[in-house]
Amino acid sequence: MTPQKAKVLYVDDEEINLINFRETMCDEFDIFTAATGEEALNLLAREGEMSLVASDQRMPGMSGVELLTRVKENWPDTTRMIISAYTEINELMEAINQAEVFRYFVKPWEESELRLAIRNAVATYDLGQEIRIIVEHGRKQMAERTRIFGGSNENE
Amino acid sequence: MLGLAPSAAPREEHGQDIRLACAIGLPFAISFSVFNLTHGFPELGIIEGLALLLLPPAYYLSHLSGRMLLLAETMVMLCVITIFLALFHYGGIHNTGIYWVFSLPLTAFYVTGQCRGWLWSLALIIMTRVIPPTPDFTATHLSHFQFAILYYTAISASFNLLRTKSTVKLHNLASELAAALRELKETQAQIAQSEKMAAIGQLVAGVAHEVNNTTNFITGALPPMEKRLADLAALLKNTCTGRQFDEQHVAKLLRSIDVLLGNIREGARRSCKIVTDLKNFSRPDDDQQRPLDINQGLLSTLSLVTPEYKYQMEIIRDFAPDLPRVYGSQGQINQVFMNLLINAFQAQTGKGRLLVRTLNRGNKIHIILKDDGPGIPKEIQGRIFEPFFTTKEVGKGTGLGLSVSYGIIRKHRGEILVRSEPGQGTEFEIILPAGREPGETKGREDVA
Repeated sequence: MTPQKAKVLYVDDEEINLINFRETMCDEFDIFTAATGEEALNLLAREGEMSLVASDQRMPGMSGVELLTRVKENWPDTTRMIISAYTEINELMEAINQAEVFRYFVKPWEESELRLAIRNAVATYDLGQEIRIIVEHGRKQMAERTRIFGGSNENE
Repeated sequence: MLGLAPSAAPREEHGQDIRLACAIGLPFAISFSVFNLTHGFPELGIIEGLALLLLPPAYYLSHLSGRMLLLAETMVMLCVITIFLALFHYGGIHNTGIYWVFSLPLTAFYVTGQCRGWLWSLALIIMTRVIPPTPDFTATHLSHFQFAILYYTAISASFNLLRTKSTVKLHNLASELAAALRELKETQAQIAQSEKMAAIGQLVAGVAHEVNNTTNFITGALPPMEKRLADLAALLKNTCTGRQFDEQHVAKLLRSIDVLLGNIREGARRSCKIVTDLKNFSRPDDDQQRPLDINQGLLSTLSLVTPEYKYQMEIIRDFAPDLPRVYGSQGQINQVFMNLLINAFQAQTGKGRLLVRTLNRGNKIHIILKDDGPGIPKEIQGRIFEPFFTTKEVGKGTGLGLSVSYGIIRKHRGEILVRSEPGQGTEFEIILPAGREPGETKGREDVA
């Protein structure tokens, strides 16, 4: 069984950037794209949690930070990334403080760097999932033990 | 006190004084000469006739400078003193001719100035002691006469002193004003320059982002493109070595390559457009005056300034198709458009609309920029064109945009008007005279 590709959503209002991103990354990741923040949220609701949501900052309607803040609220495990041509200090600060992004990428992107960053982001997400599984497993075991020993304690 | 100190009287008026004295003196000298020749004083008439010959060359020399001016002045005074001493000596008709002598000090001070005025007047008094007066002039007459001349000398000196002083004052004032004006103009040029630099800085930031975006269309498409091409090459190789040609896979690769090529093409086209717009916005021969297409200028400026605000502002263009040319500097006019556009964008707090309209009104063209922003409060509407007046945060605006814009429009013999109601938006109207050359417009009003 081949390992399933990680799901990555990329949001940008320029269709050309969407195509470039998809064509560059589709060999390694399962790419979803959206042209607006609203579309992205709908897609997430439909497709379920993704490993990474990467978004442009300036878009009509919802901005990248706004979108990622919503993503953080609804899918907290998903890694978040901004890919923008703008490097205004307040936009950077919002991205870090509000949306708590994993990376802030500047356009034009460097393919290898971007790929590495996406791999890292996906790995972070996977790690989070693994930790969650381990923790849950540990909790289950603890509960099991508590049930056994707790019962014997009562018997004493 | 006597005004003996050489005054700093402007010498360019010296020649004028000499010419005035010649112009007044010549007809009088001629009439004296004719009168005396025909009324039994032939010697007097001849002396006067000879003396007045000095006046025309003096008049001519007064146009020159330096020593020639001094010579002209001396010639006028020699003419006057000769005629007056002749009157003094010969008496003229019924002796009354000598009263003319009293006008010498006035002439002397007027023509030769404060210092030499005294010398000529004193020379006259000395000469009246050397040359015998007209026969029926008694010794008492003579001393009265000399006292009177001294008295007239003093009066003339004081009058001339006043005249010189006020002239000097005027001159100092004029040169101070000229210096102040020069300084003001320099400062104005500097302000305009610094505002231009600030505007260009703002523009460059916006354009850089736009270029980054369009560059990404190209650079983002290249890696996948290379990969598809490599895949294609591998497939071709496989086909050569006898494997089956995977038609479907090739078609998919070709489609992908086609799409990526399209992206690269679009990226290149948009990059080119930015460069064209930048070139249209500001040319190297910026301050040169030439016929301008205002619609084109507005379009270039809009496409450079709006990308940063494209999600915030809806731009409605309403351009008059038959707009006549305006004579002026493209760079400067575009700077005005940019200042007004940036103000409109920055004033807009939420989402808004901006109407950009041009109108053809015969010999005038109107450019209207109307936003639906918060408007300008009534109490500051009168101050918006003042230099350094700004409502923006510290560091966001220089407070020079509108004042420089105002200066540029005035320089183009135009007007800039503002209409604003708080809460109802702001409308700026620029009115420029149409015409290919500055003088071409009919009935244009001169702006002083």
